[in-house]
Amino acid sequence: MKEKNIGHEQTGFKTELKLLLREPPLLISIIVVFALFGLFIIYPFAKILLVPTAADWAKAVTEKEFIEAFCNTMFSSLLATTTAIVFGFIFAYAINYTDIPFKRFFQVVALLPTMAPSVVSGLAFIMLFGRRGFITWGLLHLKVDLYGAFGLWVVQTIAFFPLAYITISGVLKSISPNLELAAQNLGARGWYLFRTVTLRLATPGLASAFLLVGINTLADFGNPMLVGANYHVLATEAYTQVVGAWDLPMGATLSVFLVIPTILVFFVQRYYLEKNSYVTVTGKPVAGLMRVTCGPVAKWCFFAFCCFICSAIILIISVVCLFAFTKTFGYDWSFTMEYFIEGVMQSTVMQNSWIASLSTATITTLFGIALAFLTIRKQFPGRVLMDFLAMLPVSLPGTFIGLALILAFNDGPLSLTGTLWIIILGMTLRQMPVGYRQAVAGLKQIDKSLEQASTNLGANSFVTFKRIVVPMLKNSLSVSFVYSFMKSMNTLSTVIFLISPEWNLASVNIMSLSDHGFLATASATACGMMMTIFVTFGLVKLVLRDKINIFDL
Amino acid sequence: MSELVLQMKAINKYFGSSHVIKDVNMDIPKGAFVTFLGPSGCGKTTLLRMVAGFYEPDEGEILLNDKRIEKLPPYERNTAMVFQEYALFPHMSVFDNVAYGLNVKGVAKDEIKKRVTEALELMQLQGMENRFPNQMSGGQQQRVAVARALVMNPEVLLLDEPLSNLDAKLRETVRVELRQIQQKMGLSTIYVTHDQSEALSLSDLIVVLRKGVVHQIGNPQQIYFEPKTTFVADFIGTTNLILVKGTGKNTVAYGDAEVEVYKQTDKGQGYVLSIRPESAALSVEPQEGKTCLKGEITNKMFLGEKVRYFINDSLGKEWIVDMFDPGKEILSGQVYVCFADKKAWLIDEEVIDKEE
Repeated sequence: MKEKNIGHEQTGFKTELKLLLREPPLLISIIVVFALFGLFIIYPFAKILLVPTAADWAKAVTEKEFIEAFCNTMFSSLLATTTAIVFGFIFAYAINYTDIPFKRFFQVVALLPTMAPSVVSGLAFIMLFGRRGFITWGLLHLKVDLYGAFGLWVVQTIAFFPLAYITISGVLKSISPNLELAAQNLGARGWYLFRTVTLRLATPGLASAFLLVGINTLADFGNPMLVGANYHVLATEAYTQVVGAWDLPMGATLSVFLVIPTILVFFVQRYYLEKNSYVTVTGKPVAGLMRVTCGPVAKWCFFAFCCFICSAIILIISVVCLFAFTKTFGYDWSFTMEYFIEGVMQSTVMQNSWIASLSTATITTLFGIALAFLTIRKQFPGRVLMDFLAMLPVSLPGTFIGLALILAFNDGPLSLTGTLWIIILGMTLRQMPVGYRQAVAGLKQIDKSLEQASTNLGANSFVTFKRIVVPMLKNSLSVSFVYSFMKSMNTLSTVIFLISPEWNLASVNIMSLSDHGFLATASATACGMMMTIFVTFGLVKLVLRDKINIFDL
Repeated sequence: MSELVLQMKAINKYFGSSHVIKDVNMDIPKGAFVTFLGPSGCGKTTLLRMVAGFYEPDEGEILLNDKRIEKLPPYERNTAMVFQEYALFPHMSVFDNVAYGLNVKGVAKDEIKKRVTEALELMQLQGMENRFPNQMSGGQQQRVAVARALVMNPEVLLLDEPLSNLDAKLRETVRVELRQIQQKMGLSTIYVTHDQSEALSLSDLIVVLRKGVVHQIGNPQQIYFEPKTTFVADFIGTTNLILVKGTGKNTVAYGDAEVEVYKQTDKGQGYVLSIRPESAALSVEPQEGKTCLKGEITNKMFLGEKVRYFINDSLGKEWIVDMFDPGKEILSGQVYVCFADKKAWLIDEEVIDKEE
């Protein structure tokens, strides 16, 4: 398919250009999109590559501490990604392939951590297993130091488990149950069936999920900062270089190294895995057939596993809540609002986060649909490039985006440093691929003939868009709105370089408060954040009157 | 009597609160081609899946070669199935697809190669062993799906509307091939379809289902000419269903006319007669030895090999009558609808199904 399109494009280049010149509004919107992409994507990323000198590059590849940080990053994220994927897979399999009880409960709990910044799992780890941790010190009176590689591994596994679970669940759902029924019909069962059919069909999707989680662990900033201790990774090292040593070029160099693996991953996923995906050739699932492929022993093992994961998550959330609302956790259990007032009510961070995230969600959703409309429904030269640029930021670690933006917009005519705008810009860049991808998926589902029918009945393009396309896209639009709002509220790595004393954000505050030992206030802020996200979901639901359930994402 | 391959005894199945299979009984002789026929939602696919083991009946027994199987999981029965969407494994070549079931069983490599090659030859798929499903046309995929089931040498072969994704021409050819292969191998086969012409042309035995109830089991001629219920008569082909009254003798009364039937009727009791359009004829004068009813032609369609007339009789009932080899002369106006009494089939159902 793809080759055909490209071939068509080359031969039809002139005709496409002619068609384009005949439609000035289309031409203008394409020029505007490319101008925006040029200014906000290509320019900053070119800048960050040009800032470091040859000496910086040399220093980065020769100095021992940087090489160590690079190796650490690779090792820890590979480890955490692997465990998160394995856990996510087992969990998703249990939810989609077995008839264990309390499925709905497990589904909801597994997604709870996505409501809070990933750094909350690091925070909970400190509170439970830290040097003065409730379990290690308070209950067991142990003097252990779990900080470093081990702690980071545990914390990142928990932090990125929900992402792995959501992605893999989507993969498993896309496998037609007919195929497994056919295999059973031919005598396959249990492990053999799983190995020859389910696993084989899921492999491309699993690889994609691995890469996605991998990018996130590579770029993770908060957790290594909190529990990494002397175990340095690239993301924290770049931060120390910029904020500690005020060596911007060195920070830029390191973050470029962080990008290399993720860019590689991006290309592998885009041009190899997507082509080798099988999900599109299977038939529609049979209604009413549950695929139960495991025996009773396996079923209860799955059940136990789900219980284990969910209790870990509940433990994290409840310890954060308890810390936030008791005077001194573990010693004085009396209820207090003191920390909540200090962290949420008396601080502007929550408000700032809310404003920035809501703006980001609005922009990415609207811009996403406009972009998708251009690339899916229109033919013009540069369509493939536009699609590529729109998806590119998905592979870029937040720290890299943040650094690129402050380097590019520090001075000159477009001096944005220290403003709200640069925060929104960073968040938007990070979330745009999500909004775009959702809109593309939604648009592809709407048959072109529906739009043709509308025009055939006398509606022009604009009316068609408003009365036919937008209502049909409503569901996928509200999903992407909610999702980018949530992600923007929670993001830490993207905004760490972009905040200023004037415009500080809640997620950054949680990290710095816990880093400085104000665990209770940090917990209160995290609770406030979860509440803010829930309330906003409620508002969105009221406004859009949709039936979106965030736990079905 | 011939040996039985499959027996169903008092099968009941519920999905939630809806009763989808109601007290189904049937005996299927070895080597027979049996069709489950009915409109969508009649339970035919559910029954087939129970034989395959994807559903468990809530009540009743299923016997496959005298062994109870209703509680066995699908992988412990030898009931290979051809799925409506083919369900070919997209990540395996044609050879691996067909070999899958044999590999599961742990058959020796040489043996697998031999049997797969045979099956592929039978389905005229030689030379396609290394292709993948997405490189094949719908018709070819369908053949692979059949080969994959045949190679298992199943005790009963199950086909779930396997032709519904093919275009009309191809459907015809594959239908003939399927029947030939089935007869050559003497394979007991259950075939699910909603297409009555498929059922009539393929089957040794047809099971007509409606809303989970078996209306009739019989060979194609019985189903067509001697329907047991008005539903069967109406669903298979076109027919004229005439409401008549019993007379207490071997006749029924329709207006002034009396029609002789095969059994004694109760006086005053309501019955239904089924008369096929091709079994009746039109004439200007009443004919000797036949029941003739006066009527008026209201509409007609020229269909090439026949003319189909629509006639209103004196009681206001609309008749459909087909006249074959019509020539150029087409009737109109007042006519008589005439039929031989033995061509009128008395439907002897206890309760005429009135839920629609």
